[in-house]
Amino acid sequence: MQLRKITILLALLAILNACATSPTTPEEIAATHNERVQVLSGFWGTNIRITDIRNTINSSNLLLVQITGINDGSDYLQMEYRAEWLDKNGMLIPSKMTHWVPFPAFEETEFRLRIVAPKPAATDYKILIREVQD
Amino acid sequence: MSLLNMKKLLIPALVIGMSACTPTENIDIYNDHGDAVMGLDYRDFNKASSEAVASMLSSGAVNKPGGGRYVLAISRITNDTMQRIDTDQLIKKIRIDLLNSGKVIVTTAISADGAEDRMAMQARQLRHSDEFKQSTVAGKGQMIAPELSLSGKILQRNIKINRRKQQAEYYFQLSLTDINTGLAIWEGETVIGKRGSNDAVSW
Repeated sequence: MQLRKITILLALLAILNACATSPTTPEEIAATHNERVQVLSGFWGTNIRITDIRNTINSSNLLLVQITGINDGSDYLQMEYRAEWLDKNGMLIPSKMTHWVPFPAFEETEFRLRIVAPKPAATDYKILIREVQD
Repeated sequence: MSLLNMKKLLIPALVIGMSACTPTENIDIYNDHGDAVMGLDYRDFNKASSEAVASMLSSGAVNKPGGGRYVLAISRITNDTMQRIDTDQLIKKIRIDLLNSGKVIVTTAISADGAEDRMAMQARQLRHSDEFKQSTVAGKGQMIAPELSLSGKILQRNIKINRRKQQAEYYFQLSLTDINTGLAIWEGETVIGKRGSNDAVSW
């Protein structure tokens, strides 16, 4: 009986794993392996994948990051991101803007985030993305 | 011991016992999954302030032509909610990030409600005091006048959905005005909505 339960559980896990999508294009692969942006997947994995990351300097001389991702799932997801900013020496720049900020990821659709650095000295960043946990 | 006396002792003991069942815990403000409240809490102020700063920095409104920093004065921020709010909960965060951005510096010598720090003016009254070395007293014409002014309002609307549920809407509205021209060079609004029990209070 116990063995049967474990077998069913393993089969379910295998099915769920098969459902998880993987990047296909070179841009998607590069974005997925970008160390600056990390999607926290949790125990059950995630339907969110990052497809593109662009950096630019805006008119205020501030680093502007645009992240494009896709929600592959059929459910709307409430997501949040947290951006940490680093100077040219890799030192953390303290900012009140470094906290979890919610954003929507509609089902089976692309989403875009535009995140602006808190000061011109910010030359690098680390952005975490996850589903909002209730 | 009479029955009445026993009751007198039992009731306070029960109250103390019940309150002991709810232990106090510290909030992890970096990863707070606590239930939302009908009123405004620090998470709402964080959201409103960071959205405002990000919008200001993205728009280029605080980018002074030719470089340098704008001098910003804090005008009136009206609390038009049913809650007792110190509007500094919102404005302080905005000020810190704007100051850190290197784009803006805030004057505390003037605001809509008088000087935030009265010492700048009070120290000037030492000009005729023999007790103070006059070369160390603040000179005339040294203060910097503000170029920008930040004003705003926090609004609340309560809507009853049905007998059990209500909706509270909060609007954080901010304007940045060029004092020289009187024109608003940036405006922002953050809306925070909450739905909950009619028993929950939002004031």
